[in-house]
Amino acid sequence: MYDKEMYERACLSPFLDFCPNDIIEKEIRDGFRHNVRSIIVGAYQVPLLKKIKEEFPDTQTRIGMTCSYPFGGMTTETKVRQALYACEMGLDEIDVGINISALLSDDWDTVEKDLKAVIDAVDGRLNIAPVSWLVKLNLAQIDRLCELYIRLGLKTLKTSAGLHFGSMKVEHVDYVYKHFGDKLSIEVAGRCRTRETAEAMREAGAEYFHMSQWRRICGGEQDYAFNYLTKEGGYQAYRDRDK
Amino acid sequence: MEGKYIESRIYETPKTYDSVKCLCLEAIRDGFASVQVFPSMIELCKKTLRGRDVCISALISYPHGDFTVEQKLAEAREAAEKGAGAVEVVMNTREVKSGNYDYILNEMKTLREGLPKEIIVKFNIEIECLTEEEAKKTAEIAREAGIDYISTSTGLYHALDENRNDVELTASPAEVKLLKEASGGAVKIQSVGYIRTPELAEELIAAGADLISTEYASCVMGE
Repeated sequence: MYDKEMYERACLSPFLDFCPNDIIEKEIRDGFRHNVRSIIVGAYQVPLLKKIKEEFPDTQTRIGMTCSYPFGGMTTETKVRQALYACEMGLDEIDVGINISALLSDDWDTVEKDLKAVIDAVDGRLNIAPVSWLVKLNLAQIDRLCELYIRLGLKTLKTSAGLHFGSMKVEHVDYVYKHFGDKLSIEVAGRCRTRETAEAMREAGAEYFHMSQWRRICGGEQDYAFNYLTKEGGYQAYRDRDK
Repeated sequence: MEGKYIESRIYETPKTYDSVKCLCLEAIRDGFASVQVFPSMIELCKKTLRGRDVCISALISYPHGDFTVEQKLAEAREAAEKGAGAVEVVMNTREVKSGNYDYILNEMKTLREGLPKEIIVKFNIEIECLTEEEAKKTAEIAREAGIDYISTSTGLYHALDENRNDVELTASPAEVKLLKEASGGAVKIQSVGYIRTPELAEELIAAGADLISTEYASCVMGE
């Protein structure tokens, strides 16, 4: 069933390594057609994203770029360089990988300096969504990280890196919303693969959903997938380890 | 298994500083050729290795290879300046999947020519995404561009079997042979992908692999 509201809460990232360019273009174009919340691409795809956006002059869809996604393992200098590129290209937002290695080593000073350097470079020209790895953190670490975001003036929290690093739970969203929901909007990423989960997370306080399965979850259509064994890709029925 | 064939590798960043230090100390102990880390970890590796003969290899535009060519070069240069002796650049596989091999040639040449000769340039081709024909063509281009190593995979992804169980995309001797032949033996092959046993490592080396890059280096050493 077509669900306009869910499409408008969807964030797409059609840059996966197995996608040929014609599929990437189709995904971007369809994202604009469905008026999704945002389309986030890799840096080299930004000119393509902007070009396709011109076909939709009245669009409300935001455009953005990844910055040290998903691992946050790039140097601060690289993150700043990428963030400045995003500003120069007139993007609306960037998804920034935080220095999770420093965080897990209890080196909060490095976590803060790394993120602050990006924030300072951007200087309010675009929205920053930090990739927060909540699936790897305990509650004390989540508290401290959210407090850091708020202190640095961030308005958005992206819950996790997605891919296969662990599934976000409704409880994660519920916890963050109850404690920080008045200051941080919650963008879910991290294997949100069913409509039921998305709706439960929405109830718990999530605003947006970064998801590879956007067509299926929003409108019951098929998404693009790649079979690493046969080396064939295509729009096909959903197959995942989540039954 | 001799340590000179081994690169000890970090796949993901949710690792503490102690994990990175252990990676380096283990490399010193077992005589590994190199350690593979994220650029933000280079300085810690350098400090831990204290000039020992272990190459620091930095991941560039990892894992999606979605930087512009110029951005890849900038990140690679910075890694070299910080102390990396090698860079592993993730190739733009989307351009291969689109048949734009000129893009790939330019990407590889720009990186090779833009870095000092003493810096080893590896390209990670994510062979799990490529058909045999695409892999062959990529290896031919790597040779033309003068790339030092083809790294086979990021080692990050799984397939699913008919029962929806994960299937690890393990490095194979067949892919090593294919790449070695297609590059005319002119490009070294770094094998990556769930290499956990000395037996598999030996099979890969027998097939022509020059380096085994693995998160399970101690297992491969038979420990």
